[in-house]
Amino acid sequence: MSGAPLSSLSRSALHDRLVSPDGLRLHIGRFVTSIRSRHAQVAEGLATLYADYRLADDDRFCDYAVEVGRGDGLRKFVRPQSLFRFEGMQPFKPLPGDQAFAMLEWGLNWVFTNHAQHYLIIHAAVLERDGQGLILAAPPGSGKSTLCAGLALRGWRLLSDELAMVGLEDGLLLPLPRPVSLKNRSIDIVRALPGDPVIGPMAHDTAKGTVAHLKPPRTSVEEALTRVQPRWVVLPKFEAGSECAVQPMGRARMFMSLVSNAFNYPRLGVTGFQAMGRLVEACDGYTARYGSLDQIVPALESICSRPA
Amino acid sequence: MSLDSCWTLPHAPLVSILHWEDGCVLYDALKTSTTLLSPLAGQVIERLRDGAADTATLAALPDAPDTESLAALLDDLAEHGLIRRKD
Amino acid sequence: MNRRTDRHLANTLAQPGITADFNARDWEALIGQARTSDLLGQLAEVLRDAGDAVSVPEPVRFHLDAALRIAALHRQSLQLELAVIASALAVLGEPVVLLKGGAYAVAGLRAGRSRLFGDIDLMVAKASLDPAEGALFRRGWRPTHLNAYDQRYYRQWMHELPPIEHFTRGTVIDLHHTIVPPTSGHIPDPARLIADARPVQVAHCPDIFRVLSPVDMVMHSACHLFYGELQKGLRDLYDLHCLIGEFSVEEGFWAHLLPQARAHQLEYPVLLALRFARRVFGTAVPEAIAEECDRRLGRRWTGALTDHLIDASMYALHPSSDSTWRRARRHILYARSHWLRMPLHLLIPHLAYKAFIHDEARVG
Repeated sequence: MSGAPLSSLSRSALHDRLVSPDGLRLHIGRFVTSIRSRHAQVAEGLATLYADYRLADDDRFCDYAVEVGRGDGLRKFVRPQSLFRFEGMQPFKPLPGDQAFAMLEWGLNWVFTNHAQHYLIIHAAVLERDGQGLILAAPPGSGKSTLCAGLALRGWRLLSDELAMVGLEDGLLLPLPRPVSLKNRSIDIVRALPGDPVIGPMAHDTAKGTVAHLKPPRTSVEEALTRVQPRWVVLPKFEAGSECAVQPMGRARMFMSLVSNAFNYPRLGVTGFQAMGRLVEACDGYTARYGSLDQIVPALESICSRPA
Repeated sequence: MSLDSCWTLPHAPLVSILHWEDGCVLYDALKTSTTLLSPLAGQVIERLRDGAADTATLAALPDAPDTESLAALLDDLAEHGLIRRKD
Repeated sequence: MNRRTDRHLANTLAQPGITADFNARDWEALIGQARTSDLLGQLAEVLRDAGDAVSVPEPVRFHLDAALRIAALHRQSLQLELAVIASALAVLGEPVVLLKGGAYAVAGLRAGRSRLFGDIDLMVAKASLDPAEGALFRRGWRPTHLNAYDQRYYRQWMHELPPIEHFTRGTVIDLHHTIVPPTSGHIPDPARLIADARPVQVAHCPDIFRVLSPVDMVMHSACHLFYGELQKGLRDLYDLHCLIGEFSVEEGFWAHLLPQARAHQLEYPVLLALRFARRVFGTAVPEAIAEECDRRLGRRWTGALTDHLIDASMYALHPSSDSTWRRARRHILYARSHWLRMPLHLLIPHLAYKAFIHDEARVG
């Protein structure tokens, strides 16, 4: 990862790369991804949120080439769409043109999850402190991303806000830091937090309401090749007005909770079962109900500062 | 329910199980299913992995409950296809 | 210095040594073509076999390794699935012939190494179709085509029943009673195919499985390629290249291939297969057979046109080799196979996810 950061490109140079045949080539975690798009919103989102990501050298093999297109024929001028393409495939139906950057983020999620066969992949936010990993696993709507953003802005290293990638052989967590996906009210909550949060383009009226992304801290991006030993698994559950209640969770229950949030667990067969078993062995598990970030962040930091 | 019903673990080589204090997790590679079991159910499965056993033998397991509860557990496990009554 | 990358995949599969002077862009083209042609596993095998003779850059190795891992999982689940199928179909008391990908894998053929496939194809005698289907229904498989018209269409006109899908595991079985649709006008003799089939051992299974004889296997593979839609043209042709290469040392293979294909009225696809395997992969074909191929194909007035069309379909469908790739909606097998399905709604709930299984869109 020796190249200059994306922020070294002028806006016109960024645009030129995005429309060139080779695309804009960025190091994202351990992968080099080529991005092509004529959507101004994609350029804006990249300039804002990916400023610290390194440009790949010309002779580096590109792992994945993706494109966010505008649609066919006249449509691209009259009423542009956001069309995600990978290797000539279109895994998703098009979205409206003003959701182009969100489409890029979701498309990249799909690309990374579909190709990382070396990992057990769990739908979870992952952060690191003092060399130890915290996995926040929960279904959508649990406040996981907001909490993840809150911790990242307090100096935890962000590994991912969506994907815990657990090495099948070494059991370590692979960082794949990307912008943190926020929706609706949590956008304003995070914007108001200390730590100078930078928020990218807003996509309104998606199936989830308004979606925007938080820029990952620079150190998270720069340390993206350093893997992390998993240490804690927390299942957060936001309930408006609730008191904070953090409780230990048994390993069998932790196992089942993680299985229900694991993408490729079924496909990995007994290998996945064993990898999950090792992960659970390595971690202390907790459930955490909370009504505000002010309660839960100190509670988690207290758990995570106890000696192993 | 008689004590001499005999029980087996179907396709035992394809079954993996992990034990913890709060329970066990069983993976059946043939059904590609993962099941959460009580610690006692885990003991029963583990014992049947070594070979078929009748209810009386299982009643001698360290944490075995009274015969009636054990019989109910065995029926339950059989109903879920996790163990099989041997004729 | 835009050098041609469009034949990288076929050329590398035939001669991995050509990668010696590949730069990053060449490797990108190669890997991309292999992905979209469902040949990444096979490519990984070829490059692994080449050992020290080729040097694969580290980032490229990650993707080859990923393909080998998928293939190993796929093979694991195939074996478990076959164990269930065997215990269901043992009651028939007659042989069950595995076809295509499943056959290549269990027979340990080079064509089957790290090759992914969607459905398990089985062939039984026509009279056993209904009992076989019934036995599988009792083990949890369900019809996928529920409407009466589809059911009738398949049963009347096709060489297979409508696919059936397992209600929890999602694995799909195609039950065949012959190897080409009766509507194609060709009438191979299924009884003879089954009689000539060879026993094959599958772990944890009663001894019911067979695979087609080498000659019949090549014949079927050729039918599948040239009577199909050529969607997986390059992959299917590579199967033929591997099968022919491996069988050519079998005694009597070359002597029987064309006569037997003629006896089953399936000579034409076999002739085409030989011609194109030679052209694309340089498959070794005895001089006399090659001449016979040219002679017989040359007499057809449609020869040149067919050649052109088929040639075009043998390019990998990928931006690096297909100028109309933008409109090509390809669904890579590893991303859509029910065996490898992932609950992505957790991650991408906002997007209408395309139905990968039955929406096999065409190129163009």
